[in-house]
Amino acid sequence: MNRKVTVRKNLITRLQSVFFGFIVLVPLNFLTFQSALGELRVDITRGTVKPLPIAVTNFIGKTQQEIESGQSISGVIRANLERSGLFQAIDNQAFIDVERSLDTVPQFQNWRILNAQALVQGQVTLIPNNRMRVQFRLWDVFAQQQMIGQVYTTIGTNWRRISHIVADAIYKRVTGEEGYFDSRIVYIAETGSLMRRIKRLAIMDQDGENHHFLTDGSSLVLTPRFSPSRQEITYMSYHGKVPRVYIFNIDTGRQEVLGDFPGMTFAPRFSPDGNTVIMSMAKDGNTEIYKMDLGTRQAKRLTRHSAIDTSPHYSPNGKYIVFNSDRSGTQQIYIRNAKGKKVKRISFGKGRYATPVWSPRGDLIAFTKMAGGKFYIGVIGVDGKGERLLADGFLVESPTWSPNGRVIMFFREIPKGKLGDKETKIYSIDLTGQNEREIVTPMEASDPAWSPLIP
Amino acid sequence: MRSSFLMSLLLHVTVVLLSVIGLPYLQRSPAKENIPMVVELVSIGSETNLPAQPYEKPKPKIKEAKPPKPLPSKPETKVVLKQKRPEPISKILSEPKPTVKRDLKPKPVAKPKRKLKRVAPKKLAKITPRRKPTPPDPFALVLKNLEKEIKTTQIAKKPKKKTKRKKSDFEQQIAKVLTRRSINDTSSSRITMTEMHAMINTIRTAIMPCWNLQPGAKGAQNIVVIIGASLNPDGRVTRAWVKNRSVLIEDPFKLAAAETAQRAILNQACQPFKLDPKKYDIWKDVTLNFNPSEMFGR
Repeated sequence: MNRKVTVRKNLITRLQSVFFGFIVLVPLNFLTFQSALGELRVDITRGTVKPLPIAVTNFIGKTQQEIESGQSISGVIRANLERSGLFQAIDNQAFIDVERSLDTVPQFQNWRILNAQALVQGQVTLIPNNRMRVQFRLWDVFAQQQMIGQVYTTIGTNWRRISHIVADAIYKRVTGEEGYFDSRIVYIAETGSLMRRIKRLAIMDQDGENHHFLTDGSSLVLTPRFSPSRQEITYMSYHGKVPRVYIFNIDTGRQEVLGDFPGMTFAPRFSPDGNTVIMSMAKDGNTEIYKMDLGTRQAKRLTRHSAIDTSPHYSPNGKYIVFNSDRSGTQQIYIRNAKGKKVKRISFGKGRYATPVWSPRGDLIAFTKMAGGKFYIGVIGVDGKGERLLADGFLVESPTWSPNGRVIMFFREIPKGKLGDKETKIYSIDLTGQNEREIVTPMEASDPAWSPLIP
Repeated sequence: MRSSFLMSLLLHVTVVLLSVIGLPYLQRSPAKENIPMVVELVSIGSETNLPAQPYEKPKPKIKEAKPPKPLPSKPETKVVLKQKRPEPISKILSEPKPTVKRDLKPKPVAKPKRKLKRVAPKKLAKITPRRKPTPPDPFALVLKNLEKEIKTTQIAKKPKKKTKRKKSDFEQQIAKVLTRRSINDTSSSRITMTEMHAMINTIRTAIMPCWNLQPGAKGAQNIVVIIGASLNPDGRVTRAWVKNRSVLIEDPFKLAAAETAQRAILNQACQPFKLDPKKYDIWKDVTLNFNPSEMFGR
């Protein structure tokens, strides 16, 4: 009884308080007051995602040859930055003013009118013994200050690589992430009809230039992977009609079979230090994961399970291995300790998961997914959370990360008119799922593998 | 007989209800829930009763502070990133001399503004005696003396008197504020809550399209950049600087994120901010917290 009375009293009290508050406080709320903090504080929690407008001027020179080299270099820089999707290169035709010297501060107002937020200026000087000096400055147009300035000296034929290095420096300074332009792609170049397909190992710069073949196409090659520390590539080849893992030295052109395994070996990848190759071996209807020490050539079996374990890939710190297995009934992604036996499943979505590839940044794993009659390229956190599908198609496969873990390259097979006929091309896509671009190759291409930054 | 009994009953019920609802202070103990409301009332009340402070309008001074043009002189040497790649590197470029950075700061304008601010609270303190009844009535003085002599026995009655006084004071203050406000409406040091929110919204919506973020970067959602900015009376930003630069400078990504925020506030495409020039004193200095956590999941 007492309790009821108390509740009623409280209710009345509350009603009165509300009434009092309404009558007195609400008008008060609209009365004037002075800012107690003294300074206006504004929280900005949203922005836009747009490419940064950047002006890359033609690098200046004194002689005609220097001027031409300067134009070529700035052209490569501009193309690199634009291809990344994070920059929007302003058309040179729109430039109001082009500085004549690299030693004077630009007239920033002339660049602000164009809404250029960053400005790149440079100079090329040819020096004796066929060498050249390339210098550049990156300016913050709004803050009106230099962000970075560097000088490089190299042989004249190396101008393209210098361009990539300059583009990397600009990319890093503006985004805070490492660049990836001074890197290469190895892939499988495909020619011929479906029944007589010729697959050759080919290599090119990440922008498609300096393209050349590494093998002659006499034997089928698949799944090439770069060594992180040496100019070596590991891949699977059907040389001698038995599929085996090989190692190819880019500098010498020499290739050798990796180990004498009793079964078929495939899906090889280097460890982060480049001293070990991890791969799958199929024997007696079961597939397990093995690793081989490249120094001692000793092989060690890592998995023992009646299910198929394949597509192994080391984490960037070498402590873990991600692989796919059908031990739970369907093909899913698992992580295990490199040295222990503890295994953890990380993918639980509908469909089958394959070819997991650990990001160089360490936070994500890229994969191929098959669901609903379609293929997808996606990423998932190492804890199994945050799965995102970035690209899809009739057949998309073989994701590979850029050295900075920002871009994923993969190949897409597009069916053509006739039954069974198809076209295979390489594409790149930003981690956010934006900026999908075709990588132009001289012929059809599949199985790309991105190199680390060239040392 | 019966009707008179009913009338009496109705009357009694009415009296009882009135005593319960109309005179609540006699019965109830103060509810705990009211405490935070009281605190809020005091803080607003103390500020709302402030009279307008005369101040010098800073407009003419600020007009002088035009953004200086970059000087075409020689470079000053500054440390730049070291180049690690082996092949081609020989030197690192030094920055051209005539850096405009420091010269940009409109120092002479900023100082007088802050002085103005400091003056305000002092004068506010003087005003507190406003609560006293204005005409010193001799009869009231006599009453006061009597009260001093009596002191002891009337403890129970005191709170009633106090509350009455407070109420009357309070009403007077509200009345004063209302009348003053109508007179001194041009004061830039005063602002309503609605106006304050409108100001914040104006700046926020102006800057958001110019804050160009880097999605996909590792840990991008955890970065908080604090930018300080000084504004001209026309709503344009004269200067912007990263307040927590020391925290961010060690990580190239954080530094880059800080610079995107700085560019956002310096981007003239998103200016001028359409703010009330009469309230310039409020928005001449702004602190902006850039935090993209709301935007990025993973």
